[in-house]
Amino acid sequence: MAAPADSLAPPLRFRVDAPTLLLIGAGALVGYLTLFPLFFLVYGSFFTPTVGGVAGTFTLDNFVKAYADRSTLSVLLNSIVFSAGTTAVAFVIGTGLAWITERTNAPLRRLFFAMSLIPLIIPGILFTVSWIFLLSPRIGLINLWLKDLLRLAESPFNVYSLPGMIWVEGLHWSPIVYLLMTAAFRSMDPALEESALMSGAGLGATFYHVTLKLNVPTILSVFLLLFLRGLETFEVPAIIGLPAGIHVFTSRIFTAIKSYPSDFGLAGAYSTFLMVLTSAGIAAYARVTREATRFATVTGKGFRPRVIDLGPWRYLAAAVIVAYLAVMVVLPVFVLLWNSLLPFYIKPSVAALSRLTLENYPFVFKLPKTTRAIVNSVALSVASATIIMLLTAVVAWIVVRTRVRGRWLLDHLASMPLIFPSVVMGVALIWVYLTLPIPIYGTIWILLVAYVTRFLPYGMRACSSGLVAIHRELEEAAEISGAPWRRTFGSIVLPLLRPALLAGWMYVVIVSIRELGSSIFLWGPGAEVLSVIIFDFWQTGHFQELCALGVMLVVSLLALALVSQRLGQRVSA
Amino acid sequence: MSIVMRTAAVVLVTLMVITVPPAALGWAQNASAVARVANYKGTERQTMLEEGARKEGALMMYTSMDLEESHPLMEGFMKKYPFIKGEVYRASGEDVAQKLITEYRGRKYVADIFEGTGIDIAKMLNEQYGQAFYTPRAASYPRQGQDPKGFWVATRYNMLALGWNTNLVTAADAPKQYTDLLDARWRGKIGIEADDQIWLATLLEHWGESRGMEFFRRLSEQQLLIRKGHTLLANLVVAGEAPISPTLYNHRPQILKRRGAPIDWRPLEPVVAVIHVISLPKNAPHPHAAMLFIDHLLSPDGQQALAKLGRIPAHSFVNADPPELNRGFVYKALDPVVFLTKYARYDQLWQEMIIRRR
Repeated sequence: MAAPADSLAPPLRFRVDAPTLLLIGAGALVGYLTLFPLFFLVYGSFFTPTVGGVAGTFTLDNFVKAYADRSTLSVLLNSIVFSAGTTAVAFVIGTGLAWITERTNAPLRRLFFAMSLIPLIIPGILFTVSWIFLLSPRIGLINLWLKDLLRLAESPFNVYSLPGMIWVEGLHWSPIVYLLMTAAFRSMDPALEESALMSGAGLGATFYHVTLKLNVPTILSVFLLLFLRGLETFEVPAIIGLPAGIHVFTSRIFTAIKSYPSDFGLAGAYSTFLMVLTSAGIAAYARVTREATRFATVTGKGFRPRVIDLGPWRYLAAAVIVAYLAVMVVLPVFVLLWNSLLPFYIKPSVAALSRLTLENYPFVFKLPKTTRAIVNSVALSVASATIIMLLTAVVAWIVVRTRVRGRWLLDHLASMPLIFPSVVMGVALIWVYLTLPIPIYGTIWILLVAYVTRFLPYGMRACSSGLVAIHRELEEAAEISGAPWRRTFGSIVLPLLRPALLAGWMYVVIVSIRELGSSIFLWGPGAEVLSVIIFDFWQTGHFQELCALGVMLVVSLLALALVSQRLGQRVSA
Repeated sequence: MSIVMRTAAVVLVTLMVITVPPAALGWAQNASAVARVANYKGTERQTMLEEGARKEGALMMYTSMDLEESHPLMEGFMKKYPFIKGEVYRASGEDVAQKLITEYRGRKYVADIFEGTGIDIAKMLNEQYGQAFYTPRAASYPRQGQDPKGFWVATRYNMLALGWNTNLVTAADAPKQYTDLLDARWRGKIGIEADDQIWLATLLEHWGESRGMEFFRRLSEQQLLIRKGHTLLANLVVAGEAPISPTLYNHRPQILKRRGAPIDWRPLEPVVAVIHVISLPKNAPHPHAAMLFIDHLLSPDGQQALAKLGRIPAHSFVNADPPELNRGFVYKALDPVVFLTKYARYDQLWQEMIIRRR
């Protein structure tokens, strides 16, 4: 059968049928999710707080207070120093480890690569709490051990300081850097490094002039990524920064909401400041990654990375790996476990062993909110991951495959939540649902809205990169054979997209289960989630119960990660 | 603009418009129904409340009382009324008040009871979210233990006392009066709760401005360790992170001491007493159960249960356990409404002198 040639020319042309409706539906949903919070946040920041049932009045004071106050300068400085410091710490640690495991013959490197996912499992809030128990000036274990060992009069470290905050946050992000840099090292032809070495350059010079410089785009993007994370993180600034009196934007927003009367307007004004910073970071990030093609390190040429012989230094490298695992996993998990087994805090000693008890574990489960939090967290993360992946599969298809006018707008809308740090998202959604007459504040539904909105960009990225990699000839074949769009999408696009969907889904599940920054503003009794319960245990002084819950959480997340790794292998096999 | 985008815009606007009506319909529990139940004075009051509570079957208490006490208390109530499934939402008083107020603004009504410091209840009342109620139990409480307009009745007192870690500080060394806190040896060792504006306010009122300001100015030079939450602070004293703290609620060190923790306490006179009261939010979804709970907690049985859990009851004829928790020392309590009217100033002083100067 000869089809008229021109009907094939613009393939998959847009028609007024299922895809149109879908586009409108998806567009409306994405628009609702992303534009409303932005609008209400900005709108709300022009009002004074509502007190005694009297609505706030229009004001510019919030912006004056947020931008022109003298204390803002120190908040800005703290935020920048904290983010930059975090970036540096995470980068040095992560890249160093990546180099050791990818390019040297250090013992234990294979084992480490296999274990490298484990540090990612410990949620930020537990990691932060455990480091307080390690580095607090009076009770921190590391301080106590060093004082005994070196006969010091004063504790060498104080976690309640800017360097303390930077250390904890930087360490927490180092596994991400490790993964990203490992990938970069793998895709780079080592012949370049070999030539440098053979031409007489030293190991250090080679690393700096060749390895690092060739990876400039990757490194810059990792820098920006870390810097953005540093700006928007909430756990460390709230748990360590607030008691230490070191304020960054996220903790300022938190305290504005927590004051009486709740100052949503001031929080909104601070939020806009933070959003300007993150938008600038994202713009820079987009620019850097766009220019990445100039540095093509992946070529068609086959190569096998050459291993650098470190000689006797390889044992030092192995020691670095062991030390890293100790500070990243062993010590934090140990303090959590130790605390979970005590009636109240006692530093580890033989005498303390006699006081060990298991009673904290049943106590945690006697509280109805614990089981509810587990159910809610699991349900929310699975639901938001599923919704996001389905929604972004459609949106990405529209953006990548169709030629609808305005599709770029859809793309931008779906990526826009990137500029919302989690705390800002929380504030924005309070505004939306205290203003709109949809009574979901304090319920599981507002949390679902928050997670779906906030993690939409991650789904979008997974789906669109997945779609770009799939040639459209298969869809064209279905189209020509007369399959309706629904069938083409369901039986061809989605199955082919499965690896991307699965990867994106897993990622969203993990990040939503750990989400704290927006949940802390939006939850309510009956709609508890795990991260909020842990934060609550901390705030109310129930360290032992917190640690018991933390130990159980780490163990089950570990089991989950192992199972999903197995599953992943089977899917890809 | 393409037709598609125009359609999308129309859909968005429609979405905005159709979401408006539910507010008018109101998801709210009828506030006047709550008022009726709350002020019922007939002879068959108890039967009426029980029948209503049976239909409601649930109760949600918002409180700042630690889970270790509020949970057993709720369990005692559920033993008496097994047809009510009681639950506790516990957070710091400031957080509970903030949550309740935000929920009411978002038209979400969950709380049946709000029990907390007089100040936090006053915030709720200030927002017009409270409901006056009648309980025959109020007769057993002193006049200053109840609101003249009937919005609250006192349940317990928290006494701010000095606690110290007995491994790090001996009883002889521990401060015996407020001015001892200013000694150079306590520099960097004093834990202070982050939201104890009432401590400053009560002492300022008692000592007068000049003496009071002088004390807090000198205290602020002691490199204070600021932590949020009284239970947390007590645990930090046990752990040794803050060797002493003048802002512990004395029942907490007493309970911890009984459990063998290295902590002890003593009153610094005048002790600042923080009144805790029970109140009824105006859209409580289970008003019958709420009234039964108010009656129960204010009854001699309820107050004795509170005392047995280590708390200081407000009832005129129920003793604390041990009685030293509120006996043998002078204490001062501020009227919460008066405190809240001057709150802005006290909070400013507190933030400037204590929180920022570290």
